[in-house]
Formats: sequence, C-alpha cells, structure tokens
Amino acid sequence: MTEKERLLKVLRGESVDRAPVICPGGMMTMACREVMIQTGCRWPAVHRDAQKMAELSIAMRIETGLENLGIPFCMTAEAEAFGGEVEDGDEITSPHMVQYPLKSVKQWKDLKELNPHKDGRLPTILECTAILSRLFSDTPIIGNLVGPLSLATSLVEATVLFKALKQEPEDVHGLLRFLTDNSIRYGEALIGHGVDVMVISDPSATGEILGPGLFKEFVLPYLNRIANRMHELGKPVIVHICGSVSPVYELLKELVSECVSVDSMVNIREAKNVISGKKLMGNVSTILLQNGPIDRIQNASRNLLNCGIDILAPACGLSAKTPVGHIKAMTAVVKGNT
Amino acid sequence: MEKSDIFCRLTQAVIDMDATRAAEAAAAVIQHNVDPYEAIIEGLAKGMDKVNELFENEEYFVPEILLCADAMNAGIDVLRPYLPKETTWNKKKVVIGVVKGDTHDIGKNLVKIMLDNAGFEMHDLGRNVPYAKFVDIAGELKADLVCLSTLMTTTMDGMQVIIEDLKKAGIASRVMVGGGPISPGFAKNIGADGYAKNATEAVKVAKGLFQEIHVPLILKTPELVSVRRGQEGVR
Repeated sequence: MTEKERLLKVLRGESVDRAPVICPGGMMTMACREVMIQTGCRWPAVHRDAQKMAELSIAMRIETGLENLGIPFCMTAEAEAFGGEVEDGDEITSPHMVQYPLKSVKQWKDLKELNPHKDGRLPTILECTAILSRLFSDTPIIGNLVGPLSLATSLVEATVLFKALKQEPEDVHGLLRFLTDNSIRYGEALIGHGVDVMVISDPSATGEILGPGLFKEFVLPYLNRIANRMHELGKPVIVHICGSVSPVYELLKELVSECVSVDSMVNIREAKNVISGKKLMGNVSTILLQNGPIDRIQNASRNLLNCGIDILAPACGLSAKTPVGHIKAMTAVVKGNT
Repeated sequence: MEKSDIFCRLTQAVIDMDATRAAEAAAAVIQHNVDPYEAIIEGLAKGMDKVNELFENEEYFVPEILLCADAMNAGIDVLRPYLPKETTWNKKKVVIGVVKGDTHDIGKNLVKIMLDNAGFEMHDLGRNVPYAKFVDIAGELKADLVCLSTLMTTTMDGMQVIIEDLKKAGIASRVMVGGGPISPGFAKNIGADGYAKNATEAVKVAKGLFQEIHVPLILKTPELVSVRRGQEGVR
C-alpha cells in the first residue's frame, strides 16, 4: 500500500494496515532548520522560490519519515495575495503579517478578487505543487487553505473583527462570503496543479474564542462551502481547529470534512466518542517534539494510536528548531521501527 | 435618583455590552453629584467582574468581553475628568507585547484590557516586538511587570532571551508569560515569575505577584485567590 493510498483510504473510511503519519504544511508547518542546512534550501528564501520550496519539502519527507509533502511553510500566502504586508521572517521564524489591508470590516468591498496565477506567492505555491506532483505519484501532496474566519483576522485587526461579529454581522458575512469564494478559486487551482488532499486550517475560529453560537454562524457554513466544492472535485478535506474544542464539540459533527485535526490539549479518547463518524488527526505536542526526550515522544505517539487516532500528526505547526531525530521517533512508532 | 440605581445601570450596561447606556449612566453620576470613583468601583468594575464570571462559565466568549470592556471604557471616559488626581497614583506599571515573530495579538489585547480594568498602568508595545524593545522600555519606565505573549511555538524561545536580557541589564521587573503553546512548566524553566492561562487568570496572577506572599505558578480557581487574601489578613 503506498503512502497516498493509505491516507486516501483512511479518509474514505476504508480499512488500512496502519495509521498514516503526516504533517500537512501551511499553518501546520513541515520544516526543520536541520534539513534547511543540509539542503541549502533555507528560510526565508524558500518562501518565494518554487524549486527550493519543493526541495525542502521533499527532503523533509525523506529525513523524517513523514508520509506526505506539505507546502507552503506559513499561513500568510492568501492574506499577502489580498494586499496584506508580510515580513518573511528568518531561518526559524515563519512569514507573518505586519500590516493589515483593512481598517474596518466594511472595507471588504475594496478587496480585489484573487488571481491565484498572479497574486503574491500563490503562483509560486502552484508551481511548487506542480513540481511535486510530477515527481511523486505515490506520496500524497497536501494543499493548504486558511479558513475564512482566520483569513479575515489576517486582513483586519482581530479585535475589530471579533467586535464586528456582534455589531456588524451582515458586513462580516459579506467579507466571509467573499473570502470563501476566493479560497475556493485558489483551492481549485491547487487541485488543478496536483494536490491530493486539502487541509483547511482555521486557528482563529477556535471554540474557546468564539463559543458555540458564533462558531455556528460564522465558521461552519463557510468551511462547509469550501469542503463541498473540494468534494465535487473529488478531493478529501481535513479541517484543523486550534485550541480547546469542548465548547463546540457537538458542532464539529456538522462539518462535512472527512477528518478533523485537533490541538494538543484535546483528549483523543473523549473526542473520538463525541465526534463519532469523523476521522481524527493529531495531536502530538509540538513542544514535546521540539524538546523531547525521544522516549516521551514515542510514548505519546503510542498512546495516541492506542486511543484510536486515525492519522498521527503534530498538534500544530512544527518549530523549525525541532530536531529531525525527534520527528523520526514519532514516525518510527507508526511504522513499527522502534 | 438613588445612588444604587445609577450603579446598577452602570453594571448592567457593561454586562449588556452597551457603550451608549454606560456613558448615559456615567453622565447621571455627575448630574446627581455621586462620587465618580465609587461609581467606577461599585458600578462599572462590578459589571466587569460579572463579565469575568460569565467568561469563566463559558456563557461569554472573546467578542463579548471586548464589547463589555468598550462599554466600561465609555463610562470611564465620561467620569475621568471628575476623578480626583490622587486616585491614579501608585499604579503598578506594566509593559506588554507580543514577542517578535508573532503577530497574533488577540490574547495580548485581552490581557491588556483586563489588567487595565484591574488598575494597572498599561504600556502596550504591540505585536511582533523586537526583544530589545521590551528591555529598553521596561528599563526606561522602571516597569513593575513585563507581560510576554506568543501564540506560536516558533517564538517561544524569544521569551527566554528577553528574560535573560532583562536580568543582564539589571532591570528588576517581574515577568509574566502566556499564550497558546506556553505551559506552566515552560514558564518556570525560562525563569518567568508568573504564568497565566487566560486573561482573567492574568489579573489574578499579576495581582498576586505584588502581594508579599508566595504565589504558585498556576492559579486555576478563584478560591485560591481568596485563600491568599485570607493568609494576607492573618499576617
């Protein structure tokens, strides 16, 4: 069974020999400084160079045993393409927003429609996707989208947006509809260039911040619209939600994605029970992965498999300082090489 | 109008996230010659206490808190010119910011609002703040407390650098850390004086840091705070 078959089968609910182990990329960054140094494909140059981006992601897969290719290495690509100002960071700091294009939610009407083939780094990511899909037919290539609400917090100050949820709900819906339409267009382009699985990361849409009422109104419908379109194109979807999900447990069942990825504080046994019928991905602490020791990483990974995790993965983005050996320790547990 | 009615209106306006009503009730305070300081403590701040409770009980979430704080500030803005000057003295100075590499500042903003409401003098350095800026400003202001926040694993190490640099520069500010990936254990390891899991807890921890008693790194329940107050009374 190839890595790609295994992941796709799990997401379709078919039986497999063992759980896949992946790190999707995007917000859930899949890069280590060690590998950057070995390959000469270093942050921050990598973020704007399709060839180097591809090389780093390939080398990460080979060195760590992770069973996917995941790009890009940040969650700012769409926001930058919409006109946000991004600082590229350094060898251990991923690109991040420094200037929001919108002062208020109402201004969303000034945003221009995205052209994935032209705007910001989107063409670089599409090109990298094409390179990877030419080279790999047996390894899943994961495409990354930022969920509409989280994308909105990269375009307008989060406090402004969160207040608007209560005070100008119609404008927020206008913004989110617009972002959803554009993310769908970018998602279609990613699939056109060879993406096998789509991950939508929505870190700001945590139940802890929003609570169930606002989550249901401003998060669910938009995530589902994206996921439905990806399904029409024949691709499965994983949705990653940061933070505690207990305030929104029941609502996660209403997601149409095949799989939900959760943060490190989420108890997998409990989540499996509550969100039954969905595959669960997660949730090895990225702090544990960075600091080790190896035996604790392996115990945590084993424990997750025993709890019935469907896809083993880091709970969040990897720190670039994470030693390759630590990630290998996690992947070895799944593969039975310990 | 009874004093207590006005206080009730202030409290309710904060709970209802209604800045207009808070400002109107504050105007009534002045009109009826009620002590503006008492109105803040017995009216607006009481409302915010209730809001904290609603937050801890998961009835209110972040958007609600932000709007309640706006309502409280709308009331304070009306009352401020009538406050006697001396009620502002001896505030503890707090420098707060999101460590370089990270621009998520919602948590930091919440902590700022809560500490501000709790009577701390806040100096907000914003997000993506270079390490040296924390040290420079803390030194300049002789800050009592430096609050460092990050949501990203990748910027956690910067916190340790800042704590070490503060020590090297001989700055005596206490340091409180918080944010998604931070754990009490991590906070302790890097030499932080306090760790807070969320904004309401940050107030408890910050207040605790300036009482002359030992404060555990993790304060999870309001009970602990009252226990501490009790101990203080005994001394």
